[in-house]
Amino acid sequence: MLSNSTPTAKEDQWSIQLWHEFKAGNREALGHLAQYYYRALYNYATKFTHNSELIRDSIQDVFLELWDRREFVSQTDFVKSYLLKSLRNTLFKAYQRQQRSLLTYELDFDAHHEDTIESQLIENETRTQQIQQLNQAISQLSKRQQEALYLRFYQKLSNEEIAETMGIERQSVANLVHRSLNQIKDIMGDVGPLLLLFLWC
Amino acid sequence: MNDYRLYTLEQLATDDWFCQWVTAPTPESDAFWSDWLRQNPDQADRIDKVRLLVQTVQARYGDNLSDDLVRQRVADLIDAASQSDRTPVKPLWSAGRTLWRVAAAVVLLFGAGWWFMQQQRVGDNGAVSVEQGIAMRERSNLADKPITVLLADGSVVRLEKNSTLRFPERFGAARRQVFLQGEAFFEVSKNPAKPFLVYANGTVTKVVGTSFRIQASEQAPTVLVAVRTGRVAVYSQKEYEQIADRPVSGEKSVLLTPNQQAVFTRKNEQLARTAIDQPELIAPVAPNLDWNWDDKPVADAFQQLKQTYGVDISFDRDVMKHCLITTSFTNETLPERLDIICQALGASYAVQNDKIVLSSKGCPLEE
Repeated sequence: MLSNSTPTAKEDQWSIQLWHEFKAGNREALGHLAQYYYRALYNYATKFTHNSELIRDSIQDVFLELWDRREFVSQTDFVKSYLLKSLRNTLFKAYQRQQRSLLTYELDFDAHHEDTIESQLIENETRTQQIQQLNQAISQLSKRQQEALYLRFYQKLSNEEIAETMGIERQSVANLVHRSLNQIKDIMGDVGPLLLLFLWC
Repeated sequence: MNDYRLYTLEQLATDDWFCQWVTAPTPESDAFWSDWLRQNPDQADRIDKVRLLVQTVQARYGDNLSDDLVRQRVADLIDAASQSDRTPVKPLWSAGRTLWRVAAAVVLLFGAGWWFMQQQRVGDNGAVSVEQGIAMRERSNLADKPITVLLADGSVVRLEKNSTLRFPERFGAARRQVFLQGEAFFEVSKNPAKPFLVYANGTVTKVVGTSFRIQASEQAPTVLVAVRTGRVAVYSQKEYEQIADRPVSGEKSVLLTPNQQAVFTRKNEQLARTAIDQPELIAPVAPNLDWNWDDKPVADAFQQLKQTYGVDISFDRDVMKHCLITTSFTNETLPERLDIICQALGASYAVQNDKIVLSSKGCPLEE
């Protein structure tokens, strides 16, 4: 388990300063915030929709609303999770308006995932197979487990930040991640002692 | 040193240095991890598992959003924000306002890969002119050993581990500004017309041409500036922004001479001067090489400089094969040494892409 509850990203000094500046009315600071976090937001959005216009508009809405309400927004040390959460809410509202997702009263994470691998630096055929296997294992996890895993290992958020983003308790996040890793550990081979190591946390 | 042996799977899988090696290895990271694996062969299996996880996560969740598209979208977004402004924004450039804080903060806030930077300068009447087009670069040292960063004016920065330096590709007209997170030793080339400013964790260190060390680690409650040569002025950033460029008496800053240091306490923003208690802070790093040169061939001279400073000097070996240097160095910074060498040889140098390029017409053969 990570030994801290503070954000792990080393850019955070800068982004906290940026946040402070934008709140004070510096529009350029807003621009830099947007530039800095755009990719993370875009990527997260793609896990809920493939509608590129909706993605573009939603991210824009996040920042415009932030800008409009800048005097009422609180200072934070967790800029990234704040923005991701904001995006999640924006997408949720968009779906509500479109009267989708009536079956599930929550956003469906990565619903359209196909188990194909994009080309990248993969050493060899064995490795490709291993990745496919691990991919399939991940697909067996619940949606919430998958989202927690994604926020942990792709967006590199701490448990606290994941809790903030998903709107759940920190302990729930710890459980989700823990169970997920448990389930996929077989695919990753014998990580026995490894598992014990982080059971302590 | 980060003891990666003690890292859990999660810590490894989210470690920047590790992930970089898995997804986009550089010669540095490759060397580091190959070495590490050689020294820790019992970890090979574990590392392989985590590699697999990282690769899978990347493959599964990665996108290929283009930089251009991001730029475009952000520009659109800011346009929309300015249009939506119904309430008047406080004018950014009014006289009472801390211009420097805005300028510094704007400049401060670049991550890697930013494509352009705006430098703000105060004109005579307080109006701001904006200079565009100077790219901001960033070097981060995630490895264990210090790395050498070469700046456009010939200044040399020895960046310690876990440190980041942000600096412009070319320096502006009035000053040379860089931003440090972590620790570094600076050897600044002399230019009285363009002061050299280092912003670090709430301090501003201003020099004209000198060598000094700054310790400004993220977690530390203090910032330390220690001087080897020359004179250095250290300010709290807040004070500095109020002064801007106006010449000022020493009250607002701490002026340091060689073998002195300043300690800035971040919490209460107090600056104090003391004598240096750790001489190794400013000790020259180089192995004890001989700096008394008597008819030394340039190739050897440059090799010695490379050993000492870690900088590559490229020159025409043929043209310069008869060039010999006779001189003695004691405390000079690298830029000063280069100047002296160039004067002796009738040569000149420029910094290009992290290398020093020396040009010369050659040297006449001694009769």
